Amino acid sequence: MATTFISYSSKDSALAMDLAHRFQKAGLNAVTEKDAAKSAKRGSTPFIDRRLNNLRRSDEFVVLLTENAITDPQISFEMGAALSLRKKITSIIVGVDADKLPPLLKPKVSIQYAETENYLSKLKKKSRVSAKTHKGATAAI
Amino acid sequence: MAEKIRALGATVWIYEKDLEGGDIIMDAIFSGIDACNEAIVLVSPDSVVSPWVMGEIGAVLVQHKRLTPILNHTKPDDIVLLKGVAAIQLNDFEQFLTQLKKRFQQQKHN
Repeated sequence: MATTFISYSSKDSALAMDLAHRFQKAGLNAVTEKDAAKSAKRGSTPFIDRRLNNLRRSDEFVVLLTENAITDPQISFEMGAALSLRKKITSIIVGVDADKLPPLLKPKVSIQYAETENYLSKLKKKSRVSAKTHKGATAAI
Repeated sequence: MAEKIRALGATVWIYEKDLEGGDIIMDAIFSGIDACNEAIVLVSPDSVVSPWVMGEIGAVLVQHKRLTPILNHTKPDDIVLLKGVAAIQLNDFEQFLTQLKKRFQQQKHN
């Protein structure tokens, strides 16, 4: 199943956990900073490397764009990494004016937080289609 | 810095010089990063708060490329995300050039 990387400012942890919970409820995989922190405690790989590994393995990238995120260097860092890997990026806007965001964070595809459920339904549908296509391709082999 | 690196025979991509009219800035920057073997980041009081610079650092590191921070009036830990990456002071830039030259020769040899 497709995995989504959730990028967020640590000041927005509660909101990010709510989003991750919604993903889980919808039957979708999502990875957050907390997953990287948990695995970093177990292993010797630095936290940033864990984050980047999680990002590389993800199919989609979702960024929570809040006032906190705009000034958080980690968000720009992860956005740059996601752009570099040509990930499918969706920005979830929370209380900021998308037109006033810095160019790097200016979203190509954005939704408001209130539209999350609709986004998750579409993502679930897409994930099913992709799984079927993959299954079909495997069967053809 | 770019001129000194060029003098070693390396190709340099630098935003101010290599961006052409009509280029989509973001695409051009990421293509530049795709094409490079390694990158340097000038860590100055301005760049540590620049979203662009942070984004470029993320783009380079996620591609497993070598990144050398060059410190100008900053400390190595001014960019937390570069923790664990050896930095060089701007005053010691010649030291970086010597190391780069060595890497360059090794690549040619291989």
